[in-house]
Amino acid sequence: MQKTTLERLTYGITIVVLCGAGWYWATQVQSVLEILEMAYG
Amino acid sequence: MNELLLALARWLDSHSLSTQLHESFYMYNWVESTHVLTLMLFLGMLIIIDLRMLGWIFPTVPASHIAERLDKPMLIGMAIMFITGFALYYAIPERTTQSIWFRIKVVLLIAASINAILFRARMRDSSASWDTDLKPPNNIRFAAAASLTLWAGVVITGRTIAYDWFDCHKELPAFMYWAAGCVDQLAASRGVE
Amino acid sequence: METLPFFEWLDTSLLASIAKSNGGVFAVVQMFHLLGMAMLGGMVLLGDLRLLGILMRDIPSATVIDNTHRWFGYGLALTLISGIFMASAVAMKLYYNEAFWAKMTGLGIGILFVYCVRRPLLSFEHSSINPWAMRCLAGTSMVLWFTVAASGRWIGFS
Repeated sequence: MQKTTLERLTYGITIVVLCGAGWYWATQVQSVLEILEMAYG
Repeated sequence: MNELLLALARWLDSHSLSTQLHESFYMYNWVESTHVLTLMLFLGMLIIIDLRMLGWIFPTVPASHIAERLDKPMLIGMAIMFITGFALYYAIPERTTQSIWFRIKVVLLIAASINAILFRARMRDSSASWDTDLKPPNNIRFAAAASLTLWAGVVITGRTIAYDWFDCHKELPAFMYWAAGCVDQLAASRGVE
Repeated sequence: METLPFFEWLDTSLLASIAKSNGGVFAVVQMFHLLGMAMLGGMVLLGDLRLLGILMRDIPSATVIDNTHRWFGYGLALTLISGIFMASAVAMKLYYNEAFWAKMTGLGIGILFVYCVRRPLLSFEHSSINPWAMRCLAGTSMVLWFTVAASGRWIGFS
């Protein structure tokens, strides 16, 4: 494959992965809330 | 000795923070996950250094380069592992103190540390003569293999702490009660005889 | 795609009966899984931190990538083999586990990413690659493999 194609693929995958992982870990955010509650509640 | 360790564990157990940490599902899990995932940093870097000492990776890079450049990330990983590891012990002190696996882990940890300190000293003294060799001398390779084996042992026994095969409440031979520090059970088994 | 029959089959396979009836064997395999994870993660970290210019700056990045890529493959093989064995013991539980599917998604993307994009791109002269592509490459790789490892740990909690 061409280098420029691979570079573009990299940008595309970066966006997909950041959104996907960000969304997934955001759904696990309740755990962070509990930690805050433990620290300050 | 066993009595003393148990007394210490029970004292830690009486702290409210210890109970909080144990009972907080998410906080405990975060600490536990951080402990396990930092393996990638600490053990990962250690594996690379040891593999170089065995001559299996980075054959074209001097061994001392690898060891020096990866020293800092490895020590950062080790610090995180120590802090989270202590927190995990602090959350469940009594059961951990009486875990045969935890005890083996501590022994292996000490052995691995001694090996690492000796290894570093030996490397500093001799690396100039073999630094660029693909295969370092036998004593260095032996120390690297020992390091990998010992740390693998530390990981293995760390993982098995979670299993209750040899917990004090189980029916075990007197020797196991002694080795795991099950003070009460040991006294009871002697009383029966 | 309906995958439930696969999990039902795996749940009753010979592998599953070995894994379920021998707690000791399961524990040993799990240790290899952890050691494989440490190897895989270490290679990813070293390779990506070199691409970002944080670690081992004085060693050519092509050398670092070549060496770490090979051992990344060994780590991946070790975790995959041990992982399949472990999965067979709890196949039905995994089918209904959200973290497991997050992990498998990440793993699938990760393998494709490493062998179809990262490796081919890094086979070009590194200095000729767009620096932003390099940063994206390294960052994505670390986020991906961290998510795979962390959601794997999360399987046991959820």
